[in-house]
Amino acid sequence: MKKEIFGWAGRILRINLTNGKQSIEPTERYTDRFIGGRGVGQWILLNEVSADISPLNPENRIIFGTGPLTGTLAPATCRLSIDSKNLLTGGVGSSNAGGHFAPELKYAGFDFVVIQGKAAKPVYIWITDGTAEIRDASAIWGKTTWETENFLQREINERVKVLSIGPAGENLVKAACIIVNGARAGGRCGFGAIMGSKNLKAIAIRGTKAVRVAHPEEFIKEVDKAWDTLNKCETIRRVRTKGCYSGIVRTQDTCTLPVRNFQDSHWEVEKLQRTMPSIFEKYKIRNFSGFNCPISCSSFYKVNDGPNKNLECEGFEENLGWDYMAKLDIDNPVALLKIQATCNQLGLDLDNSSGPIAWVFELFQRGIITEKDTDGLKLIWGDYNTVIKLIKKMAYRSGFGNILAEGVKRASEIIERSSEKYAIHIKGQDLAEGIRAAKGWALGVVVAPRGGGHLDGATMTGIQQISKEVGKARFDTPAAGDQRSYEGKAKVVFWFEKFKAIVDMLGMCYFTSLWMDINLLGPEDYAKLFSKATGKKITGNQLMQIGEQVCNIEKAFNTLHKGFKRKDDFPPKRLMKEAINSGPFKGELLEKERWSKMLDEYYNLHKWDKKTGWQTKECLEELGLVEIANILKKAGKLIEKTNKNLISDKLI
Amino acid sequence: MSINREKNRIYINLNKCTGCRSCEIACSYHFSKTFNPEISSISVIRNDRTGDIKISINSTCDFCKDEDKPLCMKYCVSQALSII
Repeated sequence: MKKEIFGWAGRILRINLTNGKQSIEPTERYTDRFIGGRGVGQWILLNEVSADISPLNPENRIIFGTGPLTGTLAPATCRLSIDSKNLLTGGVGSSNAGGHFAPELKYAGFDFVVIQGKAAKPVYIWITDGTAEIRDASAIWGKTTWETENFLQREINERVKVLSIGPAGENLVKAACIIVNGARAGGRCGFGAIMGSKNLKAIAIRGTKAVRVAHPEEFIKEVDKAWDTLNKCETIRRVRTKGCYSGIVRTQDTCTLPVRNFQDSHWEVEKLQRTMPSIFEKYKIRNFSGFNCPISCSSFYKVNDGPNKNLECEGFEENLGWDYMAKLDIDNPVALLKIQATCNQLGLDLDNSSGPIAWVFELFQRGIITEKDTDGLKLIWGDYNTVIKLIKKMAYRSGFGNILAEGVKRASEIIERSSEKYAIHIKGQDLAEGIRAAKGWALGVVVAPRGGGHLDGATMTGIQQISKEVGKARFDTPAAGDQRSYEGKAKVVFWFEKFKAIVDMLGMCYFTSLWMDINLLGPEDYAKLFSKATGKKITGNQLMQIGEQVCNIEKAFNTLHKGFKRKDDFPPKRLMKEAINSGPFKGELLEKERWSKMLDEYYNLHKWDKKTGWQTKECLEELGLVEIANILKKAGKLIEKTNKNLISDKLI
Repeated sequence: MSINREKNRIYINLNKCTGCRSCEIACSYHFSKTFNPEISSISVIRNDRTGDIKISINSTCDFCKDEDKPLCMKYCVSQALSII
């Protein structure tokens, strides 16, 4: 008799685009150890993609994953995990998109889609109720993500959910992302280009199957508790009514904006007044939610006047405020909406596309490049028309855009002229966040294995100014709420790294968690939802240990593929030398000595070697990751000796 | 809540709907103790290009008999659904 599976659909769809072959693998092969989403995706990646396979090699995998809670009534179970080798860093890659695609995959009877190989000509994949078909995409190759989605919904069914790439992905632009529902981005890591390298334009899905849970009545009780927690939370109510972007005020107040390519972290007040969240209200048609999401961080906008009359688009997260508002000095709200829509259509990640553009604006400001370099364009801060021209040039690799398409690190190697001083990146991937004023936020961003990003260990406890009592109780450090202080931040980042992995494995949105607001869901809450859904009992601490395993899988991938070391866990030099120029945190920078001490504490907590930053045999054996220890040992990248200091430090 | 199945209707305020589809899976749970929009009495289709939303409720709706109130309403945080 077939064993019943609850929570998961139970099947992984594997497709090799080179020969067109499909196979089905039981999800259970991985879920006992790594649950779902990013956990399973990273394990498959580590085991199947060897160091000699480049990101654009057909043998690189791209893995689309859901979790055991995806498609259930647990709030905001809409997230799609995307895992592949990172085009910008050459190390590990991981992304996560909202929208309505992930639950549809589950209703179609699959937990994961693992894609390898390269199709001989452009294709898309059509998945429905346990079957998949590779179809000709010649009619949509070259089209925008919106045109692609419209075409597939017209051809197949208006209920079909689509993820796709735009021209940027087809042209292997490093800032290319994957777009879900025309607006939700699987950003960072160049995953749009990974799909493009496989000649894969889109995946379209329609599912009519059920997701079943082990103990329905008990599960619904836990679901109701979670909904109640969210509904009572002031932060959630703020985001629901004013959007994710409403956080921009606090970002300004805490000096974590990347103003004019990180020249400052506090924007001119009069400019922010022109782009305050309330200004966008006149264009707002309605709130827009991801699947089963009570938070509704997004909205749908329509512009009724001016040169962009009739512009309609879903938008936008706070990233737009960091990336194109502060980083490019743009204080025109409609221009920002236009930029969001343009990037969505072309399949460009806001974080990674704004990096090279802001960088060349600064080079122009300093006279390092001129109109002779830029196809005749004058690059003046805040000139959004020129910014949009550069976005398009980047997406099509046209003229000067061909250099921008390489990301700041590679582009600075092409332009030279000491331009690398202003090329702000982590491990080769463009930095999005302002980090000098908040030390825990900075540590989490810089040590993030995928190369920057605030969605790994970065903590907002300092920015949120949580109390000493809460800091001590939850993170074992009363200094968790002090954003200037380096003290105790390693502990908080270590905690959130593991915690974020839990949320990504379950398929839920991080906004439901206590990362967003200390009163929201924690490990024990997620453990209860998981246990009632799957019938497999687990505690919050056990989930955190699996989270730590996932962090170590990613760390090992980076060590094996790129040999990243301690030096790669330091911030860009500029942010350690140049202080913030204005605002309440004027004078703040990241001090090298204090950073180094914080890094020691962080490595100690992980039981990683302080000298190299690499993993120790002791750490991996304790976590039950002996296979990884063996792989690292074979590569000569395992630290075998036990440093007694590591143990005593961890107890402290 | 006392609902007269002959006289009452579920009123849809399209302007408030965010297109999250929580109502669909809540409805399917009522019928099957599983999560499956396909068997739901309520259906939400959102056009992501125009922002337009279509909602329909078919004749299988029983106002969630045995529940305090229809589950679609219970899980609609934007309060787009109400009984009239």
